[in-house]
Amino acid sequence: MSEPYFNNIKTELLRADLKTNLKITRSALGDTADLNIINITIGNTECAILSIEGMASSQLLAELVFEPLTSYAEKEPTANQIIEMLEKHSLMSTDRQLVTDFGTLIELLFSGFAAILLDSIPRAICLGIQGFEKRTVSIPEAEQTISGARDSFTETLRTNMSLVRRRLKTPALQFELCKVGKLSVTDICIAHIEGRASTETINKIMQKLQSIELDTVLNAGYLMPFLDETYNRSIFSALTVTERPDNACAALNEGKILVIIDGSPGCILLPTVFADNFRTMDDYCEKPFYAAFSRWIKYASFLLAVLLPGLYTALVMFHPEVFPLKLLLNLAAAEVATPYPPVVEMLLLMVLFEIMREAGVRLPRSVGGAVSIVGGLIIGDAAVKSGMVSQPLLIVVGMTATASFVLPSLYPAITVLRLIFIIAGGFGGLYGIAVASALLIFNIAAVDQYGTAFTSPLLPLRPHGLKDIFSRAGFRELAKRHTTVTDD
Amino acid sequence: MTKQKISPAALICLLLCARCFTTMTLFPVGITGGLTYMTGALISTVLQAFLLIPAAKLAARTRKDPCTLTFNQSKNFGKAVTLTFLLYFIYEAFRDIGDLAYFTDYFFAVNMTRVMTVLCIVLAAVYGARLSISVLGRTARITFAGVIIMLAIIAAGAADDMEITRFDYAVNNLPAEIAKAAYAEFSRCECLALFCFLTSEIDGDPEKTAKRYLISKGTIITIIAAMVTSVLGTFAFAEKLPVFTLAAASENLITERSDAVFLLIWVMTGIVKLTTLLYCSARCLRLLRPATSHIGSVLFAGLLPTAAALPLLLGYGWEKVIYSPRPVAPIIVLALLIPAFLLIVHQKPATESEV
Repeated sequence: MSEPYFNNIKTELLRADLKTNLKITRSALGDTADLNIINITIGNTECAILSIEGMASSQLLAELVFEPLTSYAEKEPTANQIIEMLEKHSLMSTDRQLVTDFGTLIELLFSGFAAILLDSIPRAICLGIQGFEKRTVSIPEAEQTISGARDSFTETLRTNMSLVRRRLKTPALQFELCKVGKLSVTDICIAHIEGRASTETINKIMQKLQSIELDTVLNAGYLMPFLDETYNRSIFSALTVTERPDNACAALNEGKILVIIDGSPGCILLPTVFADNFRTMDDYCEKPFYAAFSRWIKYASFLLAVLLPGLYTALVMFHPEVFPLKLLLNLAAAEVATPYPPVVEMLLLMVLFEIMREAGVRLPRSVGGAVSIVGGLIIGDAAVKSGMVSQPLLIVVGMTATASFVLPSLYPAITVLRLIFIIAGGFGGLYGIAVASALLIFNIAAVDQYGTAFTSPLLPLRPHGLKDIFSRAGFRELAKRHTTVTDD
Repeated sequence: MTKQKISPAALICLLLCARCFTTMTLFPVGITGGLTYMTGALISTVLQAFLLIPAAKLAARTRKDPCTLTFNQSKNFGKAVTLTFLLYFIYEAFRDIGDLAYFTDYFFAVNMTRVMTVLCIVLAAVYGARLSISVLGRTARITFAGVIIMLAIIAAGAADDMEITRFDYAVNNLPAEIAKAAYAEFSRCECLALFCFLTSEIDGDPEKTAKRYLISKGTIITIIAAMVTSVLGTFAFAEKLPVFTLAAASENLITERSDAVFLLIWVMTGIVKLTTLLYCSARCLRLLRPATSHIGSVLFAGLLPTAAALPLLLGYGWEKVIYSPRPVAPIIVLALLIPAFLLIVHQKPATESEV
């Protein structure tokens, strides 16, 4: 791709001549159709007001720019008086920037600012009057809770920052902004609590973000390979994407770092540990005994979702002696009637289940339900009746599928691991399962993100952190001793 | 990049996994009774406490492994010591691979040839050995927790069949039998050489670690021996995979037998042991040939024992290796003599920068 003309004038300073400035701006933007230039004369001074169609609010433009300027025109001021009024005495907008170069001018125009250029003044006043269409704060869809907060991040960076700030009204909460993406010039914000998050990690993240050479950054996934230090080495990700501000604030309080991306409702939290996937905000609304029970259910669900189909296949095929006699007879009767070995049946059903799940996700909600009915009831029932698959195996698949929905953040890892364990169990019995388990443990243990082990606080052992892993620490206890993700 | 350290607890678990694998695979041959074996194991453990003193003191003083220290003394001496360690680790890896493949084939009807069994286990171990020692430590801790859970399940299921009289107290020549058991137990302690090699990498006190390791080792071996011999009696010493035989008789509310749990954990301890041996072998190889890449050295370390074990496994000659006596001399040389010599040489306390 050839270098755009815009890149050549990025560092060029604004000229004193208005016409030249307008010509350069137009040419830099390639005479784009959405550039609005309104020329007016105030006293004897030629002015131009620049904005991008749809990015700036017409109403704010009229109220905050045109109206004060036209009323000021009655005084017939000189160019210097106008610029002095705009710079020092005007309260037209809360977000006001004085710009001297074309690069910043164009960047601000594309961010929804209106720029006021005056003849014989080599500067521009940019006013933040953003008016682009944006989604309002709504209920989180991917991370549902029963009693937690109901708001979620949106696609607008500033809104997301305010959602965090509203919950953490402390000067220790700090936001740092940077821009990533050669074409998208996406605003990225790093939020952290000073004294809780490691300064070294913050600097490292900032460096990594600034070294990204991507053209566009359109969602959190674009940044993950750059921020995740074990992205290609592990099946698990030590970064979490959240759309819940309350989750983000809890993580910030634990010394984690939040990366907010403009244009994406998913914000990245890092570094996260394996146990974070088993915690929800609901745990902190329930009594500790129930929260602990709920956590154990989630751990059990993870094991079921990953291991159950593989174990079932291995036991049925190679180690049937472990089943109690009655169960063994039932299983034998069911399996003898099917034409395929259990490993093939299991793989077929698992792939079929994934296809139906994918279809359910992509289709509109009204049709998604129909897919479940077709898949779950009709195909499942027909498969058993026709003798293609055995009934116990269908039960195992159903249990596994349900268990995997308990942990949405681990779903990609669970899906792949499940297939690996089915293949390992189907071809090597429990020996295969043992080898696959060893590899899985190696893989989990190898994830180390910004000095925090993924298996922390269990390995390496941090006794204070453990209380919030297997049970839910009480608020009095949390108030007495606060632990962060990097604490020893 | 800073060198990754391992916690004392993780090193203890790593060594315990290695030791448990050997104990669970086969009890020493020719021992007359459970009580004799347990007494011998405990006496052997006490003796090992004296044996490990030089290695622990050396690690505490220098924070370097014996191979690096000998290389600092003299290049040729360093090469000789490193080669001795390497050969011993490869020999142990050879036995580990062979035992895993042979017993898996012998006891568990899996749909795999011996070549496939060996390949699976070696590739898994190579994958693990190319990671850092801290990762091995974390894996070992999880695996050792599995060992404890497995033993609890088996013990709970076989509790009805346990009888203290099966320890068989009647022995003709008690001192000789106990000495034999202590010697047999000592010859199976390849973990002492591993301790000597790895103890410099811990972020704690090596002397305390040695003490805790030996106490844990003595306890776990006694527990395993007590569990098995209280059910199987003297037959435990004639059985291959004695814990498997016990697990097969252990019933619980969910399963008829617990041998599946045993297989799962036994293979995992085998993998942890093999991974540790390959990790140490690879480090020795890199000391001998610094130009070797990390992955290259691990692959080579995996290839040597595999190539040695496969012909015996395929030719059905592994039985001879199983019952062949384990050499004691390398353990004494590697875990006692070399560290003792280096300790004498390094009488001077290490400077701040060395630590």
